[in-house]
Amino acid sequence: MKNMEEKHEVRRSRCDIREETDSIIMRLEMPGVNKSGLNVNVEGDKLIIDGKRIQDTREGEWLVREIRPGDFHMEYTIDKTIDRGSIEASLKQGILTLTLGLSESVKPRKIDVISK
Amino acid sequence: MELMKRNPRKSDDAWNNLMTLQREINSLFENDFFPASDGLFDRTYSPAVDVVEKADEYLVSCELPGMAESDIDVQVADNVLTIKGEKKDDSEDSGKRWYKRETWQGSFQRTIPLPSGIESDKIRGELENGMLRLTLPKREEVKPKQITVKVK
Repeated sequence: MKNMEEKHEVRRSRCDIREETDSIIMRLEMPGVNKSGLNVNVEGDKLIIDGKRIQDTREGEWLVREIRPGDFHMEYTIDKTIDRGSIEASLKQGILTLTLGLSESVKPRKIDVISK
Repeated sequence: MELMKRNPRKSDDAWNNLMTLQREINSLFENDFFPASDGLFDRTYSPAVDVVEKADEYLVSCELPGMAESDIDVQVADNVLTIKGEKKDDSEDSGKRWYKRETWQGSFQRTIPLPSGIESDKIRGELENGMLRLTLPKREEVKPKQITVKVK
């Protein structure tokens, strides 16, 4: 807490999470982040999302300042229901969509009943 | 006479610590975490805006994630900048299980009063990575001029 000005600020993005039949869809609003600034990692039970924003040149006088400064950083805990091998990410117009595939064991399975 | 030290207070000074705390608390209020709305038709939910004045132009940034050019309408009339549009949700809402819903949908409008002296026909706008950036150049007569004074 020594110097607030120099502290690297992080912000959390607005997030929608919904369930589809065989996947979980996460939708995160990350305005100002492009593909090269985005990093999505899975470390053990943690899904870590980092988004570096393209910083505007800050010279000049601020007349209105509502956009929170700082890069995006979010951590989510994922459990065994998520198949680590089938996580897909796409970034479009500042929206990151993550498709987390559910593992085979939790997917609904249809069992054929044979009548004799 | 000896020269005075510029900052005679030591770092472990209790008063100095108190001043540091005050400064840190004040810095919490420097950023508007929630977009403020001043315009008559502005909604509570509206995209955050930054306005920066430079020597020869004004820069307006607006966070519009997930929006296409066709969803946004930018107008300048009588020195009032209006950014309006419709934020649509691409996913259908039928019978899905939501765990979290933090984003907002719907139409929005932001009106920003501009200082006079803007060349309104030279305003440029670009939309990239969900950020709208507008460049509003100042008129020649309001730009700060460097006047060199010759010393004889």
